[in-house]
Amino acid sequence: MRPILKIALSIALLSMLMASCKKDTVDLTTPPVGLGGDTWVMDSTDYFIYDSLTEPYNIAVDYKWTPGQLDFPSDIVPPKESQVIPVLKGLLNVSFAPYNQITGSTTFLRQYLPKTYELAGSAEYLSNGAMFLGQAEGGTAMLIYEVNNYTRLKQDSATFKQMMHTMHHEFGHILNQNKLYPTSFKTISTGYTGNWYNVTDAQARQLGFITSYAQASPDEDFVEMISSMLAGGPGGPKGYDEYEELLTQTGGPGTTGYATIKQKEAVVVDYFQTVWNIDFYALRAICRTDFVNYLQ
Amino acid sequence: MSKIVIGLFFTSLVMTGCQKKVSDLIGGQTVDQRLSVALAAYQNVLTQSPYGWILIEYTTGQAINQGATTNGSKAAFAYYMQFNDSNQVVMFSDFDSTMAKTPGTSSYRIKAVQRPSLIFDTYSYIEVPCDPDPAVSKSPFGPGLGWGTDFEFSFSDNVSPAQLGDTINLIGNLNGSNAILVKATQAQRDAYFNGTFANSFVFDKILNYFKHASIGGQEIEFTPGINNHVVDVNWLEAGNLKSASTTYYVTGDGIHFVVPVNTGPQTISALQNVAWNASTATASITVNGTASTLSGAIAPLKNDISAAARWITTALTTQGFWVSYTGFHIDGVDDAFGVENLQYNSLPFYAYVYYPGVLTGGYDLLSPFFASASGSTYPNYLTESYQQDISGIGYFQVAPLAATPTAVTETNNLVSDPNGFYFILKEDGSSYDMVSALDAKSWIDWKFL
Repeated sequence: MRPILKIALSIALLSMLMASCKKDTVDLTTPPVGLGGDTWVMDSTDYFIYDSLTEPYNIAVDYKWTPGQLDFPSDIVPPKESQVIPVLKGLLNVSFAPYNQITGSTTFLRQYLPKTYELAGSAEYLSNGAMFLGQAEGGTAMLIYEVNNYTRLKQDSATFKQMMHTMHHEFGHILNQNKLYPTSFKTISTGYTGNWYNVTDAQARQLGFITSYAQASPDEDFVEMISSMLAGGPGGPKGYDEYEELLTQTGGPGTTGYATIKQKEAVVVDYFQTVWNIDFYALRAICRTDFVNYLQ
Repeated sequence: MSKIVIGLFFTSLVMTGCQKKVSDLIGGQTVDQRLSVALAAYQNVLTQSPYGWILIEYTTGQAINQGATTNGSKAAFAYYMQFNDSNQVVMFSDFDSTMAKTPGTSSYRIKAVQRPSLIFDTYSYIEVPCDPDPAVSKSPFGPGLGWGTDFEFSFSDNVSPAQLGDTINLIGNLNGSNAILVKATQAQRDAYFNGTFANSFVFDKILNYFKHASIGGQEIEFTPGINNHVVDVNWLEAGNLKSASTTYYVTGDGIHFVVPVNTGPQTISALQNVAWNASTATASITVNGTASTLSGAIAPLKNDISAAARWITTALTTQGFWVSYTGFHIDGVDDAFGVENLQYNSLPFYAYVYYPGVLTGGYDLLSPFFASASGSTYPNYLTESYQQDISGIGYFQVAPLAATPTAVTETNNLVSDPNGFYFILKEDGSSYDMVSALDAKSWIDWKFL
């Protein structure tokens, strides 16, 4: 090809490029319409969420129903607005505060907490007769069900305890997804199964799993250990028993179930100490005191 | 060759330069801008009705959970709604008499889903029949399902917001229930806020099971239907008892039957101008333009003379039994003795059971039954019972076999009332209501298992 032709071609290409690169002037001072999702007139609930969760922890709380956000098509209802602040206060005081106290600031939670909380008024009823009381979506969102049934009363603490259990469970997932627990944990137990729901909690404990759901996989096992130790407190009605009380269902010291769970406990404690520099027993003591003191 | 190449490039250059700019703007606005304008216009329609709206919702008889559809009975519910421009809505509901007199405030928003949708986005009266907890929704569909009602609705008129009239059609996004929003008049609004509406729940206010009114020359009887929001309408035709069942809803204008009842000479579709008279415990009503009075009665229009005997023999011949999930309704109070609060061996109350001929000596069993996912049992305090039919009224003799809790003792005492009970066959052809023959103010519903 002659040089002149090459030059002509280059010019042609260049001008074509420039033509396609030509930009309209866009006004960048006003954000696009609809950026940031739905808006509504803010009220005291929205201000509370902003001041207590969005500002300090960078967390959004979706308490208003958004189509398709929760499992669809299922019969789930949104929460009562009057219940939103009490539930969030419970979360802040009983599950956030102990972490802040033990790490000395909100930095730890701000970095690792899931960034969206989705609230539902009812449970989600599954077709096998079970119910979802809490759920997490890949470490980004946490779903809290049965908000309408929440109270601070001792006799109704089962719902509250379930919420705390969910919170610690999901937070446990996020921690181990950031830094994996020792692989040796996976070999402590065998017998992980997808049919965990056919086993009762009491049966699972005899097999060395703290709950039946712990039998689902080593990951679930690990975080169920965390949440079972952190949620709940001494005494009180059914549904708010503590870890030691759960352990009695293994058959007690000397049984395989008991020994297995104790072995897992040691791994959890060591993981928190070496990876996160958190004294797990101290954290647990604060969690239980805060929980018991919060009940009315 | 090279000339052709150069030519081609220049041609494409020219064509690039000529490329026509396709704008996605209409009227100078982007899609998002137009969308937000349209949604604001819909919201404006709702907030601009000076006296608010009446929303009437009809279910299709289907309720969905976990992607599976369950068929059941249809129902209708009515609400009063006043929307404001701060995304708040004030409501009254005909779900029960408390929601009828207490305005409830919650939030709503208009959102573009597949169609512009009206979403009641925090819990309000409209979520109550949707609640999957049967203790809240009192739904006949069972756990995990409401009544097949919705709280997310699409505007289904397919017109622009400016063309929406005084009646707006909506379709539920989950269960596909049909709803209409009708602009309320000042009188209608006042009926909700001044308590007239709450007072028109005369089916509840008249404490007798049987309610009679002389309408268009016919004696018409109204009795409770098989679910909440269902009424049975009975009349005599050549001396024979005829019956029809319809769901109903209540607005400030009165009680409306979803299925109009044809009693031969006339069709009854509503009881209007309902006014409660507390001193006489009656209600003045207007039906088809004629005034009448609805009052309680202690006996049925015509007693089903073989019902009391049938109730026992049906169970004996098929070796089944009768259950009531609620216990006795007395003087307007559901489960007046509180049997639903009974517990046994930390199992919750499941049902009250009447099991004919199951005990030694052929006696009947009368007892609460306890059950949950972790087990089920009868208590150690059973009651022996014997029913006798005299002229179409059932009389009971009962003998507890051990010391019983208060709720059971009270139930036993009522069952053995010497005045006996009427047995009323329900619309489903298998359930019975057992109604006190003393004053018809106490009754229990029995389902056959």
